[in-house]
Amino acid sequence: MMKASFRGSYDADNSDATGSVVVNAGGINLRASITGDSLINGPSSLNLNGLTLSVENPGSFTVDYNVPKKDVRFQFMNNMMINRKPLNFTYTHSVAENKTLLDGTLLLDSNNKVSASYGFKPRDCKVKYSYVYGCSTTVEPRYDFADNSWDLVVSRRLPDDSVVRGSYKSSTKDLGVDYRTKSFANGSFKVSPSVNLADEKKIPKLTAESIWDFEM
Amino acid sequence: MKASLKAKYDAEKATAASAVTLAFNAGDVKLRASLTEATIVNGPSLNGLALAVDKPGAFTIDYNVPKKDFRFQFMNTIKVSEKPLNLTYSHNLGDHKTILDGTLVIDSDNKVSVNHVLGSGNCKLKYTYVHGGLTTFEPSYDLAKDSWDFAVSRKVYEDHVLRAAYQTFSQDLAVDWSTKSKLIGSYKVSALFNLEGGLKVPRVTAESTWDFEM
Repeated sequence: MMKASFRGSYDADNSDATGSVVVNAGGINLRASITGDSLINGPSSLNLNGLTLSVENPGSFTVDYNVPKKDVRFQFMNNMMINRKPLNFTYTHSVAENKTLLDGTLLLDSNNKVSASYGFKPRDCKVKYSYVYGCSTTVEPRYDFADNSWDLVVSRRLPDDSVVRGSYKSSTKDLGVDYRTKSFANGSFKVSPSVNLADEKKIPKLTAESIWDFEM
Repeated sequence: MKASLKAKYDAEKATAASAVTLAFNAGDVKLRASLTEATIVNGPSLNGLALAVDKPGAFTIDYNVPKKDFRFQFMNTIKVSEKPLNLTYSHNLGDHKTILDGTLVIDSDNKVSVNHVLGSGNCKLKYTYVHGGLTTFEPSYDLAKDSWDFAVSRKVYEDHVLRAAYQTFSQDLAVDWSTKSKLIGSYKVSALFNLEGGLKVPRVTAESTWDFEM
């Protein structure tokens, strides 16, 4: 069984697209992904930037090979119990870039989660707390030890299954809003206006993204 | 809580070294603290405190305290033609070494292993064959050195194993005798012969491990 998906994004400055094909072989997913300039400008200007081949055992591990950069990236997902609470973590290692990242989420209860991400370099640590209020609203304060900045993300699922999300980054004073429609037919659509509050003129930027999934 | 004490004696070094490990279970993981190479003869010294979190069959994360170095190991199994392929990924942060190991279990008596150090362009292949449930043959081949190694081991009297391993590149022959006993723990006596230029006096080492529950 082969699945294909296509993601296109457009904003006033750049446009980009990613296409990928997945083949399932005995529980393992083999994936080929290509990123390139959006087809809006016509196939003649298509510039294939990156081909990535991946082997994935869903929920366990993923190995990606970035063909142009000749870089291998390993990701392992695992979990353990701490005081009877599940701790899910993901270990990511990019060989050529020599980057190692450990990302963990501790589920305190069904409404409360603490996450931390550590890059094995001094101060390369981010912490996030997630609180779900009333089933549909999520509040997420975040703190970055690298630049001592905090962010706040609030998201709400609307009755028609679309999601509205507001975010504020204290370090850059960027305020953004996302609106993502629920999945329709074979895809969904996301619009993201954002404005920089430190900017005198406060001109909003708009980004739009379209996701299509289909099975062959 | 389990504790284990390992003592090593090396005829050449003329000092005894030991390692102490304390392990305890915390939910589904084991926490381990080890002190390696503790020596008492020339005055006490403690080297190498290592801490580890270990989820059997899934992952191990080791932290070498003096070197401030992490080592990650992840184990996974996938099926290839209905045969289990056991994969192990090992990464040492400090020396940037990544090792991948894959063992295909063809059946209960036959296994093929491939070991690759990322970036080395080298590959080590090993075949394991168990004959009659008692004798194990392990030929292995190193691609870069273009050399073969052989190991044969045999179970003797239920709890004892006699093993001989020969490395053609270095011409080293290692023979060891190991025993596991509930009463006196386990011990291993090894004799290492270097066969370059004929048979010489071997280097003898002995290792004793005591495990106890606290």
